[in-house]
Amino acid sequence: MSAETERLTAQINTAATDAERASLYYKRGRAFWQAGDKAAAISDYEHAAALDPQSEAATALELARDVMNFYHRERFNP
Amino acid sequence: MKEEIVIAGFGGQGVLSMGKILAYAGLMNDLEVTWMPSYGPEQRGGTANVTVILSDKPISSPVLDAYDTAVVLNQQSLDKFESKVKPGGTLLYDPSGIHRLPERTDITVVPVDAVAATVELKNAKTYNMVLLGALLKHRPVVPIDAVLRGLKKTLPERHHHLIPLNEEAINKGMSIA
Repeated sequence: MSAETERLTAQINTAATDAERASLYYKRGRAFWQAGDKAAAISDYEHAAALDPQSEAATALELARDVMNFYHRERFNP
Repeated sequence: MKEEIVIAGFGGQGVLSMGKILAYAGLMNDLEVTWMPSYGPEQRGGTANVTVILSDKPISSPVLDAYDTAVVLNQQSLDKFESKVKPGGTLLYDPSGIHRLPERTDITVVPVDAVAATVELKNAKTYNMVLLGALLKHRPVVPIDAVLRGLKKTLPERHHHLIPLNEEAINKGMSIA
């Protein structure tokens, strides 16, 4: 974990409200995505979207799933 | 006029279709074009990039090793293409996809927070159109009406009702870049 994600983890553990926790999960998910850890990012986006469906994490989750579901058909059928 | 562009990110981010729309827009504007996609080894979740050349003269080869403009959406793409932008060129990047900022000082570097714009538009599928708008603001190689005609050519007819939303996304990209 980077210093940034460690700081966000500590804040998640002490967040007072679901909205605050959702925002922190989204920020930590974004930090994971930037670092290339897609699985951890998607997991955090899922937590954030479950806590607050209006959160920007819902859109980020959809974008991340688009990436994971994308299938390079041409690789086997050039 | 000759513009050599690379768009690079993950498959699924709309990289290839963004390039295709740009290429069709060039065609609609009576330009010579090439569109050359390239994929990483992964079947899912891997990298994808596309090279587009727009020119008012015949194009000798679609293969490039330097670009006027690069649009990069993840760290691997930034690492690969930052050094290949020609001096004086333009590098657009999505800050939500990278953890190391571009370092070049001899090119124009433009952050485009397309995820935030996509959230505002309430449609994740507009992500690549926001980036296209940002690209066209800094490198107006084709007019918007040619892009919209290119979109019409690229999208199946059942999706033509989404063209106004895509136009809104392009305008949004122009406003945030």
